Amino acid sequence: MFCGLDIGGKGIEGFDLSVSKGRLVANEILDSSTSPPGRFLLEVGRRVLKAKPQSQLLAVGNPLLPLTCQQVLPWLSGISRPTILTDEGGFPLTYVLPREAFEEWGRFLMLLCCAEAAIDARLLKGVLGCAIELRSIKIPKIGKYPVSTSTGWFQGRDRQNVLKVLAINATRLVEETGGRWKHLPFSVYHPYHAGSIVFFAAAARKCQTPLYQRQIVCTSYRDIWDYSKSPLEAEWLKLPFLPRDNSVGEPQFAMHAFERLGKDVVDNSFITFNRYSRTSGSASFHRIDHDRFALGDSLDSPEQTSQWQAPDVMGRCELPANPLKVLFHINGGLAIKSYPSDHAAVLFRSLQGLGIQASVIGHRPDLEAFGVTSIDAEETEPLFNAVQDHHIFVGLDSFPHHFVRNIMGWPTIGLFGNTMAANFGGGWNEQYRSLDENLPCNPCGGDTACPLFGRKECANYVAPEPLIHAIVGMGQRLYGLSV
Amino acid sequence: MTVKVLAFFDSRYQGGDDAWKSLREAVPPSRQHFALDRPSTLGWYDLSNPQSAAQVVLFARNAGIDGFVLDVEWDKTQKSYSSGGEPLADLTGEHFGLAFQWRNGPDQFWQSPAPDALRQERAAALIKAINIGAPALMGGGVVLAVKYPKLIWEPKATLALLRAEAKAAGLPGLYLMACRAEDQNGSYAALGYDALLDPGPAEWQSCPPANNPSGFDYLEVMAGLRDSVDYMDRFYDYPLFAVARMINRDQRGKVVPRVFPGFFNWQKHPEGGAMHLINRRSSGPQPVDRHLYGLFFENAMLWARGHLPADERAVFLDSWNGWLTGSQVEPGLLDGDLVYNATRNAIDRSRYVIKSREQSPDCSLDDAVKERIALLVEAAKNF
Repeated sequence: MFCGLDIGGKGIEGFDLSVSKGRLVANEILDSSTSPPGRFLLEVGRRVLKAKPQSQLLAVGNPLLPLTCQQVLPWLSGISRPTILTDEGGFPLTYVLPREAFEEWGRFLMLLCCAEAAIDARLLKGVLGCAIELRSIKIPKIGKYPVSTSTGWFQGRDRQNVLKVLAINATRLVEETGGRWKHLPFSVYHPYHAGSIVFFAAAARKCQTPLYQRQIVCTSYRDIWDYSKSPLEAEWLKLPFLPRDNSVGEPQFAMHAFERLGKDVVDNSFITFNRYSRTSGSASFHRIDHDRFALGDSLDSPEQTSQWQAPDVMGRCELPANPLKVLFHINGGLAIKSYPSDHAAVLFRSLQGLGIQASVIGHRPDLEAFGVTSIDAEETEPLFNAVQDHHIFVGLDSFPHHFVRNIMGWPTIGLFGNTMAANFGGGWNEQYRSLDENLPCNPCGGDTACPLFGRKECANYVAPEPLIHAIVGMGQRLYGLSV
Repeated sequence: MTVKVLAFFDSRYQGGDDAWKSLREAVPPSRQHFALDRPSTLGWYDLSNPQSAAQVVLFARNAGIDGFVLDVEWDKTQKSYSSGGEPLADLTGEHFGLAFQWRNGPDQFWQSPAPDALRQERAAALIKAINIGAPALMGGGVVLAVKYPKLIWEPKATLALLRAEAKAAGLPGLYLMACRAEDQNGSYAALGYDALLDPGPAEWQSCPPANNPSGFDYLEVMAGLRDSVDYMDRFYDYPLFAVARMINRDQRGKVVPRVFPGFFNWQKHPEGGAMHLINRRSSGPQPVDRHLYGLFFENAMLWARGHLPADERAVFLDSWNGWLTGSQVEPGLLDGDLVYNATRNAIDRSRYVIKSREQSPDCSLDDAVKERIALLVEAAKNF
């Protein structure tokens, strides 16, 4: 729920916009989980200017708040200069800014914290070179911002503190570097995990209107970065990536990261927080498109999204079609994230009967009886080499899957259990399929066991038979397999 | 080719204020019963008013719904079948059509033998009742779901008769569905049904109830120490109920999914015996979980895309305006447009994904390969 108004002309014209669930029509904005609130502020401004190209002064509701034009309109009475309307506690309600804020200086809007008007006003003053008035509106204080909201934000006080720190640091650069700040690079803060590095790199390769030059990445992912050919320059973060057990919070890790990056980085680049700001599964867009939007593309029609487009990387095995060789990654660490063992046994027995050679990443002596070979390919280079020795890759919603599909472009079948195929697997093409059972509990977010049935394994993983159909079908079409 | 969404529609809201009398007068007899919602945005409409009917259809189309499913039943006084769909006929067309559910339960004529001439006359009357407006076609035919297929005497001959009468009436054909949960051995297909349709929540409880009253509970109820609802009614957890309908569903045969945001039918069971779908929350049970309902809907559409023939892909939404069972998606006073929007969003999400799969080449296997795989899988399971 967003709103923008053209208030510089003879009358006021407002545009209510919403996050798209898939239509991406004119009044909808792509839902991007890796975009900070300022990115949406910029996008709303872009949309207003698209509709009203002559507009000189725009009012845009704070994207973090559920605001419509009807709510904002009465607050705008008598305003003709850059202003931030606030509640009585100084929480920004609406930004009234000149058009150049959304054009020439648009990328600086992504640095706004959108959580404290005084911080944003000072940054905007430095960037735009004009006074920004703060005007308090008589509404109840916004108060403590919820951790998650009905409009899809995933924030809370600590995340907003990170946004404030980054906005303050940006202000310092603008105020203390003379004119040099105008030429400083913008850096994406999204340093982990492996699959996310792959997605951001794919997004950066596709991005048509990039606002960034750099990405902060944990050094552990140097090998993935090298393979992924991101056009962004890596800013290496010498910290182990965030543990997945929630023992360290994202905001806390971020603060450590800025400290570790050091003065040279912090003093010479503008950093935006691009870890998750919104819940990622509220729409069906692929994470690559979340990241493309974060990087600057408006993606204002479904045809522009990656799921509807042909893949940008395609690869294929050069070995003879028979025997068909299939590489599996079916162990996700925990049972809930792994392909169920009963299914696996039936799958590999059946494949053996069809004369299809199966290999499995990881140590699986239990499957050797079905002719399955265990392969050590947990690291990037061995994975790259192993994939090249197989016709088809079948993998969970995990790094190997994303790497093989998005960097190698190899024929891939994605297996989805408790995560959304649309968000992480995406559109189908000649070389890609995602499979699941379409259960209504998907995605459940269960970490250790099924929240519904209490089982350790996920019931949403597809049964062996349709998986074999997909493997044989892909084998026949791509390689001329005969069974 | 996308997946059609057809919503059950109660066409009785026409002809004046009395049409809404049941809803206006319904009062929950127990604290455990959810209150019935009441119309907000579209108001207490009268479908016989063309403007009101047009607004209703416009709202449905805006949500992505492709047609309404009307109940057609025998009217003893008029001695004809009626669907009440006449006010909608002019609003149908290429993008919005009508489908039908034959409520054959009360229609005792078809439950016993009758002379051929009478059967033909009656079949022609049924076909006449569904020959209104533009149809929402499935498999090239007008959709007619038989609510109680087990009650039909000589079903094979009856279905053949209906098809013949449809042809004689100039319909493009019939797409006959039996409201049954499974057709594992193909017996309904052998009778002439094109597909099955998941029965409604009241007709098919896909999981055990959450309450299982004991004899002691019964005695407490009888002694006036406890709400009789505890013993008489059945409460089902919506998440389990919905998942149980989708799990292993391709093993049930060709069964088109039915989705619903909520359901409770105490208004139809004043003496007890109602069923309720509930969502447990710390604040107490809730009738609708919009998030889970959206996932139910979205996944049902994706399932239909992956498992049904191209021109038979559909999901039935129960319901557009089932106010008396709390299953409506029309905007209401209690929920505003939240359920309506959840419906629209689910349809948007799934259609986006479906479109993203359209360019994918056909990798389907020929029947011999499928059979070989099926045999190997069966052998592997029994190893």
